[in-house]
Amino acid sequence: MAITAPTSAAITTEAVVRGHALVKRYGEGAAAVDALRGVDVEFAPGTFTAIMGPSGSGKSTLMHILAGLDRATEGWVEIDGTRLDTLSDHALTLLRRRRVGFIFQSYNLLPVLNGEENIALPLRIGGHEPDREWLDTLIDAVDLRDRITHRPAEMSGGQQQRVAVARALITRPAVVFADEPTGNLDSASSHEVLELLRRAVDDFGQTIVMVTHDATAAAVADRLLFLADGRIVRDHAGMRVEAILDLLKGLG
Amino acid sequence: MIALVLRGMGQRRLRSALTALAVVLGVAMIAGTYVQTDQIRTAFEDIQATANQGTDAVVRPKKEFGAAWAMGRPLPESLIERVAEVPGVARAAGQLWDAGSLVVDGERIASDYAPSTVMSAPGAPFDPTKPIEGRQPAGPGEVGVISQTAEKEHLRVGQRVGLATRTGLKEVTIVGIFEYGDVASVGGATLITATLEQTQEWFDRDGEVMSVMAAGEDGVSPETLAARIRQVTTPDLEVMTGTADAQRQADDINDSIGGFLTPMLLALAGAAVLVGAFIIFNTFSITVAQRTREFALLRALGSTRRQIVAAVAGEALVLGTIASGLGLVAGLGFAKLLGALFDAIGFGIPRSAMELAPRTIAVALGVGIGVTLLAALVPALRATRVTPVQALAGTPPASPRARRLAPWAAAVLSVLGLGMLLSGLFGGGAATARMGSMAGGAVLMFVGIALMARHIVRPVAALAGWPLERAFHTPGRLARENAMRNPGRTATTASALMVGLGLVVFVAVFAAGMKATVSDSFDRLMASDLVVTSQSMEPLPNAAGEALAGVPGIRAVTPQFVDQIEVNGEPSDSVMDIINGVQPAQLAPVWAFDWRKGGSDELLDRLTGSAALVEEQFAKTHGLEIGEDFIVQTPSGARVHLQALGEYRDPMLMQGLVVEQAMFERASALVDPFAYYIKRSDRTEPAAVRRAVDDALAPFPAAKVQTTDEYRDAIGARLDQMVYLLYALLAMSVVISLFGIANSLFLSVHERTREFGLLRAIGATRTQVRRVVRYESVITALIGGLLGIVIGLLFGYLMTAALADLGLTFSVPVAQLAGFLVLAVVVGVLAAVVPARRGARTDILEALHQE
Repeated sequence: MAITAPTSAAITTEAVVRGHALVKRYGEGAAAVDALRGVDVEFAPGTFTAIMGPSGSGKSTLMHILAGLDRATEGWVEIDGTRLDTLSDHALTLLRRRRVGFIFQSYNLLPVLNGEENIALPLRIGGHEPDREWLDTLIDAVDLRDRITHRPAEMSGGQQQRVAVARALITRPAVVFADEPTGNLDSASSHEVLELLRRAVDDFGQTIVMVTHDATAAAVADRLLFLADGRIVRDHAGMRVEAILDLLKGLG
Repeated sequence: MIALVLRGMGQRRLRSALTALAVVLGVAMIAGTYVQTDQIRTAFEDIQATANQGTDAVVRPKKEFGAAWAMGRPLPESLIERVAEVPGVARAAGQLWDAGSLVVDGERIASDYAPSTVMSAPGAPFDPTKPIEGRQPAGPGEVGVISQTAEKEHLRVGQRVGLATRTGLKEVTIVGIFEYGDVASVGGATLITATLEQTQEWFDRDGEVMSVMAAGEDGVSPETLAARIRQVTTPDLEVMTGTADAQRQADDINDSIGGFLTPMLLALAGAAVLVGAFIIFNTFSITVAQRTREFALLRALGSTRRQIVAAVAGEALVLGTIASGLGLVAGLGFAKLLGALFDAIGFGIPRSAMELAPRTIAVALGVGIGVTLLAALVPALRATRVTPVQALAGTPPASPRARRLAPWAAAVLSVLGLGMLLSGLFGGGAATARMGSMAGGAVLMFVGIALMARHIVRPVAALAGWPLERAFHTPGRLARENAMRNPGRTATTASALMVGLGLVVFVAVFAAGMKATVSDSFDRLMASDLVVTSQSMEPLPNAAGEALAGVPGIRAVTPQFVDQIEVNGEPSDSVMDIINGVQPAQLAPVWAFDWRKGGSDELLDRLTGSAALVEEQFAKTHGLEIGEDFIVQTPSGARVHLQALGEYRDPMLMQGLVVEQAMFERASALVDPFAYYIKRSDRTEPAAVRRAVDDALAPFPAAKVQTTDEYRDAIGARLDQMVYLLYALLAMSVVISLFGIANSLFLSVHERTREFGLLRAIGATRTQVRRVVRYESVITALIGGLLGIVIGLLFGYLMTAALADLGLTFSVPVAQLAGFLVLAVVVGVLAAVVPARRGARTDILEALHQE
């Protein structure tokens, strides 16, 4: 199955994630290093954005700040209408639990829980049982019906990452942040995971922000953000792989 | 390599410190035990040496056998004259002493534990007392008082006070306040001096002394003097030099205290060391596993296996040495703590200044370093069994051979341990050998069960985790899963707690059985209304019995005299070989005998002359049939022929045999009874009778009147006190295992940094992460608690079975066991406090990017 990117980004005034004048500074005084130098960015609901850029461009830092895993030195982030900079650690934790989904490069499943339990984890941490129908939908969507009672150690990398995708979707979050989701996978598994993310956007209206350095992965997105030296240097609608590679060469 | 070892330990500072702490505390207990018992020994030696300073030779009645409290027959006063006439004797004097206490403003002055003694002042050069105020007592009604007591009670020279003696309460005048040798106090004992004549009168000892002392002329050695005196004395007397006598007296006292105290304390210290060993083993196992890659790299770079083992052993050596050194120092503190503990429960003993004997240093360092090395050995060897390639590739699988052998080793150790325990409990042989066998067996069983424990981690964790999961959902679930993740580690960690808690449960079960049995014996056998016993260590004067005889409203009253005996020349068992003297005509109403072999209360009418009632166990041990003659000897050396008249069962309260009072007096040198039992007439008011008894006993302040129930409860309370002392000492083992759990949690938290980071990222609060750690700890502690309860019950059951002859019954203190489980939970919660905080503080970004 070919993965085709839509040619136009969804246009809407209602952004689900907003970053305003974001600055991230490490260290102080002369030794200070700015990882982000004033980033303004918005993500509309139901869109799939890929953030690209060379190592040290600040793309991971930007994602961590947008996701509420890290705090900006200046500027603010808003998720689903809530300003993160005013939240306590506890409130921020609850917001992550309810409104944000995560997918990591190294899967990060809990080894002591089986597939289904890992998927339901974000809900159960909040003391809720997953909606059975939605859980079944997701299990089918990630095509893990027959492996769902296995523990991560008994799964392949691709299967583990598909569990991680389902886990990110289980709370129907406002946004899913994916950090190099295909970084540890072979091309076949990568393909499956990317298709899955694409369908989450198309079928469920999920908003996804993905950091990647892989042009093939980025080609699945509706919108491409290129970062360099802590700034957004390009904000582009979805592109084909070749075009992305060309663009990267130009930026490099 | 040494540099590498030290650097490694420095990097794992917290872990090293916690592991060291386990060694420090165990070693401190060993060192503290020695320091404390040395203090006691030196104190008694000093006291005895001081008392005998001016004495070259001493004559005492010979004690045939028995404990330090056993007494020989008094000597005739005429012996003083005979000794004085021996060539070379410059001076001779007799001394008499007995228990007696001061009564000031109606209050008896005596501590519950230290004796209060009236002794005759033998005059120079024998007198160890030196008046610091006033003078030595010289006439009737005059006493001297030791300065510590005088100071504490604000007594002055010239003051008139009461003195409780065997013949009743006397009014006396304090004429002097003295020091004993150079000290103001002899271990808290109250010492009162009087003239010999006065002491004889007060204590009904006309013409008698307890010892005769002699001082030699110049040029006559103590040995020569003793030898010459020996020629004029009969063989039932003992003549020793002053120095030898002092040493012997001190040894006697030390044996009676240290004989049980030292082994008990060392056994408890041993338990603490065993707990420490589990923790060292666990820590080294985990760190070695975490460093497998590091070792593999070293191997790949050309290190030999021997070098790797040496590196781990070197770490253990450094750790063991530092910790043992600290333990030695901490031992001084522990000795102080022990002293305070003994004082607190009323078990006060005189103590000299602290000293660190070479033996203390050698044993403490030897055990501390030895145990650390031994416990680190297995992990060290395991570290090298890995090939470099395996290790660099990832976590290597456990050696299949070790895995196959482990269950067998566990089973063999447990069975061997059980065998040793049983042979110690039920087998014959010397008491020390049996105790050694029991202790060794217990250790083997602990280790064996610890090895098997890995197999029960899963089910127990599932069981213990279930309510936690119900209460805390996901954190509870994760805690349970984490506890089951590395069953070996959880098992070893839990086992450390099992040892301490197992011994606590054993003590509780044994004490519960003891209390139930004693209490049951009281209820079944004692028909008396009131019991009169002695307060503290003073005997109950025989004259009190005469005072009781005239009290209106009393239907029956009998004394119970008690002394130790040897039967037919066989070695004496201090628990069972006992002679009781009673007034048979008075006994039936106060004592409900559990007759055997067709006996009845009618036998009491025939309990005269050489007739004796024998206890079932006693009769069985000595093979006595009814009608059979046998010979009984007391420590005084007196021998009597007795005939078994009937048999009863009572292995708790009236062991051995019962004879009439007149026969007891012939057999024993003891003149004071152990207790009086009183039955009131049916138509009297209990309270009125008690008042009348109290009034009649007013001249004997040492006599304590209690109802039978009060007496029973007081015995129970004394048993409880002993139990609490043991609990307090076992608490050390529990505390050490707490550190062990904390240590192992730190390692787990460290290993699970990534998982905690993920949990925080997807929305687990810090509280929830803390819970994951805390409940893993609680589950581990519960496993230890359950294992401890099982093994404690087993030990308690076996011990009770071994003592079934004494009528001991097995009884499970359910409420207490529940309490111990709660204690285990508390230990778990406390152990998790710091590790849980560390887990909750996990930095999400760092954790997620950790390789």
